[in-house]
Amino acid sequence: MRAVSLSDLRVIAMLNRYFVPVFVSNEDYGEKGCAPPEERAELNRIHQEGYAAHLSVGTVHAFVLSPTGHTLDSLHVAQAFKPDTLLAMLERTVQKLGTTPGEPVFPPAPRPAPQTPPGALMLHLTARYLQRKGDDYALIEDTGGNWSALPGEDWITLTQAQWKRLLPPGPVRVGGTWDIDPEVAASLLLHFYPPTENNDLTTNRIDRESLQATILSVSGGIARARIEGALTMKHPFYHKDDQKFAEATLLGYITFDTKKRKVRSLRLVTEDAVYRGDGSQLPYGVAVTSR
Amino acid sequence: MGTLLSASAAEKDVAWVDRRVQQWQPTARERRWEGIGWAKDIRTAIQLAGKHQRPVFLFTLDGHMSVGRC
Repeated sequence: MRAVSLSDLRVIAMLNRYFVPVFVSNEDYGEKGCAPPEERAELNRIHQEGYAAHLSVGTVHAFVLSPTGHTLDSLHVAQAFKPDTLLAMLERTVQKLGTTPGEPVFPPAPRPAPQTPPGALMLHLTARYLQRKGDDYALIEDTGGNWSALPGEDWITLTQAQWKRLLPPGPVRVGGTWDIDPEVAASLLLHFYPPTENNDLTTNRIDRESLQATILSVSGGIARARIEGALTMKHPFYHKDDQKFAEATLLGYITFDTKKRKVRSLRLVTEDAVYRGDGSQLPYGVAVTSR
Repeated sequence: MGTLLSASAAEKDVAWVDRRVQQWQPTARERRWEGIGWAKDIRTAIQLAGKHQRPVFLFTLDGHMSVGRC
Protein backbone atom coordinates (compact mmCIF):
# COMPACT_ATOMS: atom_id res chain seq x y z
CA MET A 1 0.00 0.00 0.00
CA ARG A 2 2.78 2.37 0.90
CA ALA A 3 4.23 1.99 -2.57
CA VAL A 4 0.98 2.36 -4.50
CA SER A 5 -2.21 3.77 -3.01
CA LEU A 6 -0.53 5.68 -0.18
CA SER A 7 1.82 7.22 -2.76
CA ASP A 8 -1.08 8.31 -4.97
CA LEU A 9 -1.41 12.09 -4.84
CA ARG A 10 -5.24 11.94 -4.96
CA VAL A 11 -5.32 9.58 -1.96
CA ILE A 12 -2.79 11.69 -0.06
CA ALA A 13 -4.85 14.87 -0.66
CA MET A 14 -8.08 13.13 0.38
CA LEU A 15 -6.58 11.77 3.60
CA ASN A 16 -5.06 15.11 4.54
CA ARG A 17 -8.15 17.20 3.77
CA TYR A 18 -10.92 15.00 5.15
CA PHE A 19 -9.52 12.34 7.52
CA VAL A 20 -7.40 11.78 10.58
CA PRO A 21 -4.99 9.12 9.25
CA VAL A 22 -3.16 6.69 11.50
CA PHE A 23 -1.18 3.50 10.88
CA VAL A 24 -0.25 0.81 13.37
CA SER A 25 2.11 -2.15 13.24
CA ASN A 26 0.56 -5.51 14.11
CA GLU A 27 3.80 -6.48 15.85
CA ASP A 28 3.37 -3.56 18.24
CA TYR A 29 -0.31 -4.35 18.85
CA GLY A 30 0.13 -8.10 19.30
CA GLU A 31 0.25 -9.83 22.68
CA LYS A 32 4.00 -9.31 22.98
CA GLY A 33 3.96 -5.87 21.37
CA CYS A 34 4.96 -2.56 22.90
CA ALA A 35 1.59 -0.79 22.41
CA PRO A 36 -0.24 0.05 25.67
CA PRO A 37 -3.12 -2.27 26.61
CA GLU A 38 -5.62 0.55 25.97
CA GLU A 39 -4.40 0.83 22.37
CA ARG A 40 -4.60 -2.93 21.83
CA ALA A 41 -8.13 -2.89 23.26
CA GLU A 42 -9.12 -0.17 20.80
CA LEU A 43 -7.83 -2.18 17.83
CA ASN A 44 -9.67 -5.24 19.10
CA ARG A 45 -12.88 -3.21 19.45
CA ILE A 46 -12.51 -1.93 15.89
CA HIS A 47 -12.09 -5.51 14.66
CA GLN A 48 -15.11 -6.73 16.64
CA GLU A 49 -17.28 -3.94 15.28
CA GLY A 50 -16.10 -4.87 11.80
CA TYR A 51 -17.08 -8.50 12.32
CA ALA A 52 -20.48 -7.44 13.68
CA ALA A 53 -21.06 -5.29 10.59
CA HIS A 54 -19.94 -8.14 8.27
CA LEU A 55 -17.03 -6.08 7.00
CA SER A 56 -13.68 -7.44 5.89
CA VAL A 57 -11.46 -7.77 8.98
CA GLY A 58 -7.85 -8.94 9.16
CA THR A 59 -4.32 -7.99 10.03
CA VAL A 60 -3.32 -5.99 6.93
CA HIS A 61 -6.34 -3.81 6.31
CA ALA A 62 -7.59 -0.28 5.76
CA PHE A 63 -10.42 0.75 8.09
CA VAL A 64 -12.59 3.84 8.17
CA LEU A 65 -13.97 4.92 11.54
CA SER A 66 -16.65 7.49 12.30
CA PRO A 67 -15.68 10.74 14.11
CA THR A 68 -16.72 8.94 17.29
CA GLY A 69 -14.38 6.05 16.54
CA HIS A 70 -16.80 3.37 15.38
CA THR A 71 -15.99 1.07 12.47
CA LEU A 72 -17.76 2.18 9.29
CA ASP A 73 -15.98 0.48 6.41
CA SER A 74 -12.92 -1.57 5.54
CA LEU A 75 -10.84 -3.01 2.73
CA HIS A 76 -8.43 -5.93 2.62
CA VAL A 77 -4.96 -4.83 1.50
CA ALA A 78 -5.42 -6.75 -1.74
CA GLN A 79 -8.08 -4.15 -2.58
CA ALA A 80 -6.84 -1.18 -0.60
CA PHE A 81 -3.53 -1.10 -2.45
CA LYS A 82 -5.44 -0.08 -5.60
CA PRO A 83 -5.69 3.72 -5.57
CA ASP A 84 -9.09 3.90 -7.27
CA THR A 85 -10.61 1.32 -4.91
CA LEU A 86 -9.25 3.01 -1.82
CA LEU A 87 -10.30 6.41 -3.11
CA ALA A 88 -13.85 5.13 -3.67
CA MET A 89 -14.10 4.03 -0.01
CA LEU A 90 -12.77 7.39 1.19
CA GLU A 91 -15.12 9.36 -1.07
CA ARG A 92 -18.26 7.48 -0.06
CA THR A 93 -17.33 7.99 3.62
CA VAL A 94 -16.95 11.74 3.15
CA GLN A 95 -20.17 11.91 1.21
CA LYS A 96 -22.08 9.89 3.80
CA LEU A 97 -20.79 11.94 6.72
CA GLY A 98 -20.86 15.31 4.96
CA THR A 99 -17.31 15.99 6.10
CA THR A 100 -15.98 19.44 5.25
CA PRO A 101 -12.40 19.75 3.99
CA GLY A 102 -9.65 21.44 5.92
CA GLU A 103 -5.95 21.51 6.63
CA PRO A 104 -4.29 18.27 7.84
CA VAL A 105 -4.95 17.74 11.54
CA PHE A 106 -1.34 16.59 11.86
CA PRO A 107 1.10 18.51 9.66
CA PRO A 108 2.82 15.99 7.36
CA ALA A 109 6.45 15.54 8.30
CA PRO A 110 9.29 13.16 7.44
CA ARG A 111 9.71 10.41 9.99
CA PRO A 112 12.31 11.61 12.49
CA ALA A 113 15.55 9.74 12.98
CA PRO A 114 15.80 8.05 16.37
CA GLN A 115 17.84 9.79 19.03
CA THR A 116 21.39 8.58 19.38
CA PRO A 117 22.04 7.36 22.93
CA PRO A 118 25.02 9.07 24.61
CA GLY A 119 28.31 7.66 23.38
CA ALA A 120 26.66 5.48 20.74
CA LEU A 121 27.21 5.45 16.97
CA MET A 122 23.99 5.65 14.95
CA LEU A 123 24.01 4.05 11.52
CA HIS A 124 21.37 4.42 8.82
CA LEU A 125 20.83 1.53 6.42
CA THR A 126 19.00 1.43 3.11
CA ALA A 127 18.26 -1.89 1.40
CA ARG A 128 16.64 -2.19 -2.02
CA TYR A 129 16.28 -4.49 -4.97
CA LEU A 130 18.24 -3.46 -8.04
CA GLN A 131 18.37 -4.39 -11.68
CA ARG A 132 21.43 -5.26 -13.69
CA LYS A 133 22.42 -2.67 -16.27
CA GLY A 134 25.52 -3.65 -18.18
CA ASP A 135 28.09 -4.67 -15.62
CA ASP A 136 26.57 -2.56 -12.86
CA TYR A 137 23.23 -1.89 -11.14
CA ALA A 138 20.41 0.61 -11.39
CA LEU A 139 17.29 1.35 -9.39
CA ILE A 140 14.22 -0.60 -10.46
CA GLU A 141 11.51 1.34 -12.26
CA ASP A 142 7.86 0.42 -12.78
CA THR A 143 7.68 -2.27 -10.14
CA GLY A 144 3.89 -2.39 -9.95
CA GLY A 145 3.86 -2.26 -6.16
CA ASN A 146 5.59 -5.56 -5.37
CA TRP A 147 8.38 -6.05 -2.85
CA SER A 148 10.88 -4.33 -5.09
CA ALA A 149 8.81 -1.14 -5.17
CA LEU A 150 10.33 0.55 -2.16
CA PRO A 151 13.56 0.39 -0.18
CA GLY A 152 13.71 -0.76 3.40
CA GLU A 153 15.49 1.29 6.02
CA ASP A 154 16.93 0.46 9.40
CA TRP A 155 18.53 2.41 12.18
CA ILE A 156 21.34 0.49 13.85
CA THR A 157 22.80 1.61 17.15
CA LEU A 158 26.32 0.54 18.06
CA THR A 159 27.19 1.12 21.69
CA GLN A 160 30.54 2.61 22.57
CA ALA A 161 31.80 -0.83 23.51
CA GLN A 162 30.74 -2.09 20.08
CA TRP A 163 32.04 0.70 17.83
CA LYS A 164 35.40 0.70 19.62
CA ARG A 165 35.77 -2.85 18.34
CA LEU A 166 35.53 -1.55 14.76
CA LEU A 167 38.96 0.04 15.24
CA PRO A 168 42.39 -1.60 14.98
CA PRO A 169 43.47 -3.28 18.20
CA GLY A 170 47.15 -2.41 17.62
CA PRO A 171 49.22 0.55 16.40
CA VAL A 172 47.81 2.72 13.62
CA ARG A 173 50.10 2.81 10.57
CA VAL A 174 49.55 2.99 6.83
CA GLY A 175 49.22 -0.49 5.37
CA GLY A 176 48.20 -2.02 8.68
CA THR A 177 45.30 -4.46 8.46
CA TRP A 178 42.90 -6.01 10.93
CA ASP A 179 39.81 -8.15 11.00
CA ILE A 180 36.83 -6.31 12.42
CA ASP A 181 35.49 -8.06 15.49
CA PRO A 182 33.14 -10.79 14.17
CA GLU A 183 30.52 -10.11 16.82
CA VAL A 184 30.33 -6.42 15.95
CA ALA A 185 30.43 -7.22 12.23
CA ALA A 186 27.53 -9.60 12.73
CA SER A 187 25.47 -6.96 14.51
CA LEU A 188 25.75 -4.92 11.30
CA LEU A 189 25.56 -7.65 8.70
CA LEU A 190 22.41 -9.24 10.14
CA HIS A 191 20.61 -6.26 8.54
CA PHE A 192 22.12 -6.82 5.07
CA TYR A 193 19.07 -8.41 3.44
CA PRO A 194 16.68 -6.99 0.84
CA PRO A 195 13.07 -5.92 1.56
CA THR A 196 11.05 -9.00 2.56
CA GLU A 197 8.03 -9.74 4.71
CA ASN A 198 10.26 -11.19 7.42
CA ASN A 199 12.15 -8.67 9.54
CA ASP A 200 12.81 -10.89 12.52
CA LEU A 201 16.61 -10.81 12.81
CA THR A 202 16.57 -13.92 15.01
CA THR A 203 15.57 -15.95 11.94
CA ASN A 204 18.74 -14.87 10.09
CA ARG A 205 21.69 -17.23 10.16
CA ILE A 206 25.11 -16.00 9.12
CA ASP A 207 26.99 -18.83 7.46
CA ARG A 208 30.00 -16.78 6.38
CA GLU A 209 31.13 -13.28 7.23
CA SER A 210 34.31 -11.29 6.94
CA LEU A 211 35.18 -7.63 7.28
CA GLN A 212 38.83 -6.72 6.90
CA ALA A 213 40.18 -3.18 7.10
CA THR A 214 43.39 -1.71 5.70
CA ILE A 215 44.70 1.71 6.69
CA LEU A 216 45.21 3.90 3.62
CA SER A 217 46.28 7.15 5.22
CA VAL A 218 47.06 8.82 8.53
CA SER A 219 47.13 12.58 8.57
CA GLY A 220 46.52 15.18 11.26
CA GLY A 221 45.51 12.52 13.73
CA ILE A 222 42.84 11.13 11.38
CA ALA A 223 43.18 7.67 9.85
CA ARG A 224 41.25 6.39 6.88
CA ALA A 225 40.84 2.68 6.24
CA ARG A 226 39.27 0.71 3.44
CA ILE A 227 36.95 -2.14 4.44
CA GLU A 228 36.38 -5.21 2.32
CA GLY A 229 34.18 -8.12 3.19
CA ALA A 230 31.79 -10.88 2.29
CA LEU A 231 28.57 -12.29 3.64
CA THR A 232 26.46 -15.41 3.18
CA MET A 233 23.33 -15.32 5.33
CA LYS A 234 20.20 -17.39 5.38
CA HIS A 235 17.20 -15.05 5.46
CA PRO A 236 13.68 -16.52 5.09
CA PHE A 237 11.43 -14.32 2.97
CA TYR A 238 8.28 -14.99 5.00
CA HIS A 239 7.76 -15.85 8.66
CA LYS A 240 8.48 -19.49 7.97
CA ASP A 241 11.64 -21.34 7.13
CA ASP A 242 12.81 -21.53 3.51
CA GLN A 243 16.09 -21.86 1.62
CA LYS A 244 16.68 -18.21 0.74
CA PHE A 245 20.13 -16.73 1.13
CA ALA A 246 21.60 -13.24 0.96
CA GLU A 247 25.07 -13.29 -0.58
CA ALA A 248 27.16 -10.18 -0.84
CA THR A 249 30.60 -8.73 -1.25
CA LEU A 250 31.13 -5.51 0.66
CA LEU A 251 33.18 -2.37 0.37
CA GLY A 252 33.47 0.65 2.61
CA TYR A 253 35.58 3.23 4.36
CA ILE A 254 36.02 4.20 7.97
CA THR A 255 37.73 7.28 9.33
CA PHE A 256 38.69 7.63 12.95
CA ASP A 257 40.55 9.85 15.35
CA THR A 258 43.80 8.08 16.18
CA LYS A 259 44.31 9.78 19.54
CA LYS A 260 40.74 9.66 20.87
CA ARG A 261 40.17 6.29 19.18
CA LYS A 262 36.81 7.54 18.00
CA VAL A 263 34.93 6.79 14.76
CA ARG A 264 34.35 9.92 12.66
CA SER A 265 32.55 8.32 9.74
CA LEU A 266 31.63 4.92 8.40
CA ARG A 267 30.31 3.99 4.95
CA LEU A 268 29.69 0.41 3.93
CA VAL A 269 27.90 -0.77 0.77
CA THR A 270 27.35 -4.01 -1.09
CA GLU A 271 29.60 -4.29 -4.11
CA ASP A 272 27.62 -7.20 -5.54
CA ALA A 273 24.70 -8.84 -3.78
CA VAL A 274 22.02 -11.37 -4.69
CA TYR A 275 19.10 -12.84 -2.79
CA ARG A 276 18.90 -16.41 -4.05
CA GLY A 277 16.66 -19.40 -3.56
CA ASP A 278 13.94 -21.38 -5.32
CA GLY A 279 15.84 -21.03 -8.57
CA SER A 280 15.88 -17.22 -8.55
CA GLN A 281 18.68 -14.73 -7.99
CA LEU A 282 17.56 -11.17 -7.32
CA PRO A 283 20.20 -8.43 -7.27
CA TYR A 284 19.94 -6.06 -4.33
CA GLY A 285 21.99 -3.40 -2.63
CA VAL A 286 22.56 -2.23 0.94
CA ALA A 287 24.15 1.06 1.97
CA VAL A 288 25.10 1.96 5.53
CA THR A 289 26.25 5.37 6.63
CA SER A 290 26.99 6.89 10.01
CA ARG A 291 24.84 9.82 11.13
CA MET B 1 16.40 7.03 -11.82
CA GLY B 2 20.16 7.08 -12.19
CA THR B 3 22.31 4.37 -13.66
CA LEU B 4 25.35 3.63 -11.58
CA LEU B 5 28.69 4.05 -13.17
CA SER B 6 30.67 0.91 -13.74
CA ALA B 7 34.00 0.81 -11.94
CA SER B 8 36.86 -1.60 -11.52
CA ALA B 9 37.95 -2.63 -8.05
CA ALA B 10 40.83 -0.16 -8.07
CA GLU B 11 38.51 2.70 -8.97
CA LYS B 12 36.14 2.01 -6.12
CA ASP B 13 37.35 4.80 -3.93
CA VAL B 14 35.60 6.83 -1.24
CA ALA B 15 33.72 8.81 -3.87
CA TRP B 16 32.45 5.60 -5.47
CA VAL B 17 31.13 4.36 -2.12
CA ASP B 18 29.59 7.74 -1.31
CA ARG B 19 27.90 7.79 -4.71
CA ARG B 20 26.32 4.40 -4.04
CA VAL B 21 25.14 5.51 -0.62
CA GLN B 22 23.57 8.57 -2.20
CA GLN B 23 21.98 6.79 -5.15
CA TRP B 24 20.37 4.10 -3.03
CA GLN B 25 18.65 6.50 -0.62
CA PRO B 26 14.83 6.67 -0.84
CA THR B 27 13.73 9.01 -3.62
CA ALA B 28 11.14 11.78 -3.28
CA ARG B 29 8.65 9.51 -5.08
CA GLU B 30 9.35 6.75 -2.56
CA ARG B 31 8.80 9.14 0.33
CA ARG B 32 5.44 10.45 -0.88
CA TRP B 33 3.52 8.60 1.85
CA GLU B 34 5.30 10.83 4.36
CA GLY B 35 3.23 13.67 2.90
CA ILE B 36 0.28 12.27 4.85
CA GLY B 37 -0.24 13.79 8.30
CA TRP B 38 -0.30 10.63 10.43
CA ALA B 39 -1.55 10.66 14.02
CA LYS B 40 0.65 8.87 16.53
CA ASP B 41 -1.81 6.19 17.66
CA ILE B 42 -5.44 5.08 17.48
CA ARG B 43 -6.68 6.86 20.60
CA THR B 44 -5.13 10.16 19.51
CA ALA B 45 -6.66 9.78 16.06
CA ILE B 46 -10.14 9.14 17.51
CA GLN B 47 -9.82 12.03 19.93
CA LEU B 48 -8.89 14.39 17.11
CA ALA B 49 -11.56 12.95 14.84
CA GLY B 50 -14.19 13.92 17.39
CA LYS B 51 -12.71 17.37 17.84
CA HIS B 52 -12.53 18.08 14.09
CA GLN B 53 -15.60 16.06 13.08
CA ARG B 54 -13.58 13.97 10.65
CA PRO B 55 -13.51 10.23 10.03
CA VAL B 56 -10.42 8.21 10.92
CA PHE B 57 -8.45 6.30 8.31
CA LEU B 58 -6.68 3.38 10.00
CA PHE B 59 -4.09 1.26 8.20
CA THR B 60 -2.94 -1.87 10.03
CA LEU B 61 0.15 -3.61 8.68
CA ASP B 62 2.82 -6.20 9.29
CA GLY B 63 6.30 -4.75 9.75
CA HIS B 64 7.29 -1.17 10.39
CA MET B 65 6.21 1.31 7.78
CA SER B 66 8.19 4.21 9.19
CA VAL B 67 11.44 2.51 8.22
CA GLY B 68 10.08 0.72 5.21
CA ARG B 69 10.65 -2.73 6.64
CA CYS B 70 7.07 -3.77 5.95
